Amino acid sequence: MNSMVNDTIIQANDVYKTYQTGTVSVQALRGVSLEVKRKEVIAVMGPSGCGKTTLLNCLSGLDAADKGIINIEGSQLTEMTDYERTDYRAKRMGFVFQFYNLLPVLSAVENVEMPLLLSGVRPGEARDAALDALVQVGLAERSNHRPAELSGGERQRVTIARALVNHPVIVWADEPTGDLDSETADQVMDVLIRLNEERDLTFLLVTHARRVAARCTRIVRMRDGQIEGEQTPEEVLAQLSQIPAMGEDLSE
Amino acid sequence: MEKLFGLEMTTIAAFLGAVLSLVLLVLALMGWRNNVMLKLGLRPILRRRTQSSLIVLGLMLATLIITAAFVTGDTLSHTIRSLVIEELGPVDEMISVRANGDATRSSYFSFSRYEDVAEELGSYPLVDAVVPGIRESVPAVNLTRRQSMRALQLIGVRPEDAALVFPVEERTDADGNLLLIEALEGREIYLNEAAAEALDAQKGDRLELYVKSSPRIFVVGGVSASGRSARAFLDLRQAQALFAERGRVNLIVISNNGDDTRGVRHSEEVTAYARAILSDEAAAKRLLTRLASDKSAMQAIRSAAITYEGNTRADLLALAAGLEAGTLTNTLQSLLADEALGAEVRSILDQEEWQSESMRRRLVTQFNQLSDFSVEDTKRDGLDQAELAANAFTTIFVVTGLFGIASGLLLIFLIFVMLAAERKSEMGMARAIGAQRRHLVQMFVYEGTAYDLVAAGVGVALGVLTGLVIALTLGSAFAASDLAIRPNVTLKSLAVSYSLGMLVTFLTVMISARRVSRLNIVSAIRDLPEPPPQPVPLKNRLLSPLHAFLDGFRNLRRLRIWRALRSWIVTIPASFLRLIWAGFRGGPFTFLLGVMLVAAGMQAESGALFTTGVSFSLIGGGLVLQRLLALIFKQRKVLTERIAYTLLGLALTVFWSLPSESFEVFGVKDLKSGPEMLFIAGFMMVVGAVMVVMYNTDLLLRVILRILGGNRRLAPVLRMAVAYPLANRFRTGLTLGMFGVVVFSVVFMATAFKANEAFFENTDALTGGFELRANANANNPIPNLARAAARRPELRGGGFEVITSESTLNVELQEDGGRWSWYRLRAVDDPYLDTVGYEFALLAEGYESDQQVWETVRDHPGYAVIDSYAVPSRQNTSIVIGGPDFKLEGLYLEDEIMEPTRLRVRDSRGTAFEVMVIGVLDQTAGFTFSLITSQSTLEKVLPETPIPTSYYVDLADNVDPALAGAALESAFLEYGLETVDQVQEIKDAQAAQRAIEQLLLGFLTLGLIVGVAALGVISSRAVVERRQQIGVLRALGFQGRMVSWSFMIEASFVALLGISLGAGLALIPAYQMINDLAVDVPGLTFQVPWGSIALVVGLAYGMALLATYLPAQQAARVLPAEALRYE
Repeated sequence: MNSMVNDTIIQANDVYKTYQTGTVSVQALRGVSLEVKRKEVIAVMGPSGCGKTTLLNCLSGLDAADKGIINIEGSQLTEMTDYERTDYRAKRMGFVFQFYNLLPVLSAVENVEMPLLLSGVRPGEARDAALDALVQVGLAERSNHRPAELSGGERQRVTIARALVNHPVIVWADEPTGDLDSETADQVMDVLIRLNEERDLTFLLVTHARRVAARCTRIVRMRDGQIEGEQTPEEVLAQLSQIPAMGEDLSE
Repeated sequence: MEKLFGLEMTTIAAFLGAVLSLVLLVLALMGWRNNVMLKLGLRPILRRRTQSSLIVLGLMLATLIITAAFVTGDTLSHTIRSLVIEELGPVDEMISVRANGDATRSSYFSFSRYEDVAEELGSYPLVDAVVPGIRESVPAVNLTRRQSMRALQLIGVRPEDAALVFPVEERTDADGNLLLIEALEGREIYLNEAAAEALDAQKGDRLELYVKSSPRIFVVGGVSASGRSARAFLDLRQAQALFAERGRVNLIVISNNGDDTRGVRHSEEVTAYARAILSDEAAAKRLLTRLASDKSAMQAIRSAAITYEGNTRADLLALAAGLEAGTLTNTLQSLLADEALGAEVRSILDQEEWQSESMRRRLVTQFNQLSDFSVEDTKRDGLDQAELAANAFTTIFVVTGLFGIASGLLLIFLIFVMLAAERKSEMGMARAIGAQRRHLVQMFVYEGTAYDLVAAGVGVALGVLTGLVIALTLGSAFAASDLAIRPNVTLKSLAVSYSLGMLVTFLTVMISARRVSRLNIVSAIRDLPEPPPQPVPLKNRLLSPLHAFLDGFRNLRRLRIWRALRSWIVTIPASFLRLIWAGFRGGPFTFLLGVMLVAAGMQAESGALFTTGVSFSLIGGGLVLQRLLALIFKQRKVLTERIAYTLLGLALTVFWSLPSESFEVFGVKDLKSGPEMLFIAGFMMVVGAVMVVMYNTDLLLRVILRILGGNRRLAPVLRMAVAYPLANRFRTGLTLGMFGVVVFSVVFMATAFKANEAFFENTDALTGGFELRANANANNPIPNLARAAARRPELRGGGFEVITSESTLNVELQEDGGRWSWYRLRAVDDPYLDTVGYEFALLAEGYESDQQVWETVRDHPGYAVIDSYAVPSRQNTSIVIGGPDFKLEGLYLEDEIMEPTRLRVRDSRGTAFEVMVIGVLDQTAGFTFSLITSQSTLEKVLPETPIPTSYYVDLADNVDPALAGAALESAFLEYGLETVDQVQEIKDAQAAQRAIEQLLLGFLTLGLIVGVAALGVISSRAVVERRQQIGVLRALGFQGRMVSWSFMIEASFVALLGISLGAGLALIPAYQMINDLAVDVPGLTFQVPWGSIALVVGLAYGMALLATYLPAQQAARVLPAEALRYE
């Protein structure tokens, strides 16, 4: 695994986020500070409702933080307008979601080429690049199939191809293996790690699975909207080996 | 309106109300028994208010259209009824002398005869008053202001009777003073408002009235402030002196009990009583014996009755029943003594060849012997006519509204498919925990009925408004006739509209609910695409009725009697129905049905049956082809469907685009078609085209993307905008269909109307080259206007090139021993035949040119030409209200040539002669129903030739017809000559027609609401449905603006595609129809109505964008992080 980390790519300081659900307000993030170096693969872990996904959303600009500073590649995300954030996402970020979130009305290749089209790449070039990306995730033959015609693993690989096709610097992944069996989850992680090594990409993964977290460079643990601490992959592996009987896809 | 399609509105309202109440009662009971489904069904209504409002908007359209049609009918009926009642005032019936075939007979009778009648009728409890009078029509000249009129009706009554003959308004002047007859001094008369206006008269003006060509001077004693048809009234004695009929009268007026409006209720009884006492019982018995002796006569009357409308139909049926009973009752005697009915009976029996010529004459004599008096139920008859006119308009608007109603029903279907998609997982869960399919049906039916109850109410309210706008526009269209529309809505019509709209919508809701409740539980819960239904093996289908039958026995053996009965009564018929339905769905039965319809259509020469049959055969064939292809290309469903349905769609569209002559290639000839064909054609063509488009949209999209996709900014937006309609083929297809059908109807009509405009431009063809028409009164005619004009120095140099004359008489025509039907005969002089420019639709064999035909009529007495109304057309696209029903046999307007046709003509005195018809005039010349012959023809056959009362004038170029007409009127003031500028008359008619056309187009455009509501519903649903996908797109870099653009482009794609399909397709049948008609109607040319098309397209597209705008903005505001949290 690549452990050559030097410059900071994500810098979050004292980030707060509160949701209003009906009459109840939920403090999802309570003063979170986090620093991620370029080419790191970070896993954010924690119990349900601890604020993992909210953190990912705020850091990636999908959601706006109420308070605090978020710097991505030196640009202050919290200062950007919605238009600028969206444009930034289109050009510099990739996303992988638990339920694939592919566009059901488009074929695999059309899904993959969408970020390129959004970045202003010519349609012909975009198609070629999308096909290349599908080759890389081993789905060249399924390029014209719609998501409904693909298996869970295949769908997730299309999502990965889509996340990577426009050569982002950061890929955000929310439970990328959450809906997959352990074998397929391993295959998906293989692809992510390979890409991290080949392309020097930074990954921030939200996951429940220790098995997935164990393959990352660093593990950030959250509880009640705050960062509780960090773990090394080795520590997670050790935890995994202590409870083998619980099965492979062991979550917290 | 009192009746619709021959049924009493009260009966219709009661029936529909009962059915609706029953439906609601059953639903209420079901809801009470299982209120969970009721709650589930009703809950979403208030939760999604915007969506609910859109649904109500879509559901109300059918009710709106029906209500608008009824309110139009109600208003017109009320308006015409009011006019009749105001005109007649207290008068309900009128008695006058019957001509009984003797035109020389005096219409006057002695006063003592009146007294006898009054004594007998006066004792009848339903009669209020019996009044003597004189009624005559005379030419009148206002000497003070030099203004004349051809026909002023003079009414002479006793001073004490005035209130029983005239409405009080017509007896009151503008200052509110009563105009009393006893106050009139010698040679004074009162004029009503219309007469005063026509003569430009005021109190004190001197009038010259022409009685038998000699002038009598009168002074206007007063002018009343009311009255629509020009009449003057004076003392009975004065009138008797004026017409030299001292001690005699020519009219008895009856006023029934009750006021002006209610008295008419007794009219049937009073008329019957009056006819009975005024007819000879012995003569009636003789006639009864004669008619009742032959059963075929009663049969003939009964079967002919259904071809009549209104009171005549009812009277003929009552007469047939009376003859069958064989006893002379008062009713039967009065029916026999009804002069008009007697004429109809004789005509029916003539046609049936019931009797020889001598028997026929004897029958005429027997009818004539019945009575010396004719009793007319004038007011009741007028009200009946009002009803018929109102009915005709209601029918026109209901038929025109069919397009809107059809697309409204498609919308309901679409809405329920969408609602089901929204609640798919909820429904799956419900089924998983034990809800039956019928529970889901119930849930949707509850929800649909709730929407329906509100929508029908809104529809009725908006329908009333629309109907009133239509009626008022119609009123202004007839502004030339000064028709003041009086808005009216009856509770009965509203009840019928509400119930009908509600039931039609409810039925569609039921069908939709049944369809959407069919779901795969697992797919529904996981929100996966619905798997294709498992095919049931044919063997199982065939055996299922047998299984049900045996099941019944099994249950019976176990003493489950109810279940056994259910198996036999419900399951067996249901399984048979399923079997048949499977046959239709699979194609073979549809194909067979089509073949049968084709055969029936050819047999009955019905274009509608034939073409619908071919369409069914094509649909059946397409379905079978798809099955066969599926067997060959297994696992290639997309391909097989594309091939089969593209071919089917193309075949349907091409078939309906073919001109009717093309069927002749297959030996199919002489098919007749009516206005309903337009509806079928529009629907089928749109269905075909939508199929082709929907199964090939991907190719279409590829082309669009290739053209527009090069634009880097547009590419991702375009990709998303077209991907969704392509993925939801059913929704898109339905929406395309809705837009297509409505736009088709509007563009077709607009094209037809545009061609009609061109038709009106050709004024020479319409007037025959005569710019001016003049009419004189029969009491004071000008025997030879041309000669008389030549003698007037003031007319010299006035540009009167040719002045021709024409005498008109009502005759009966008979072809080849068939039925005698009344018609109008116009006998014209030689200058007319030299000058006339009317063209012919058909020339008889042996005639080369129009000119030759006119010359033959001029030079050879006994030759004639007839107008195009007397010849049937294969394309029956017009609705003619009223007029004679005489038609030449074995001849169509579309034919190339005709055989010279011999017709027998009979005048009112019974003199019969023959004419040879050698040409049929073009439709342009068909403003009047007439057989045209030379005056010399009549001179040869009639003992006394009628004196001309109409004149046609050909003016020199650059002469103003209005000025020339005024000069002519002034020169012949003493004859009360009235002139009409024929070109201006056409222009007025055109303006009125244009207003009605605009109204119909507007009414058709109402259907666009459906398409627009559909897009609104789809878009607002899409915001919910695609929430998560919008989140993904936003995460990937879609700006909020791009999301809303994507929605707008998607709606544009669907709307523009539907609109262009409809507009493009409509031009094909419009082109063919106009080309077909142009053969008979010179000047009729096909022109694309670009202006109207642009307006419709602009309106439809603009409204579609407006409906999508809000949901698109909503979509743009979706927050990505929130949307992605959705599952």
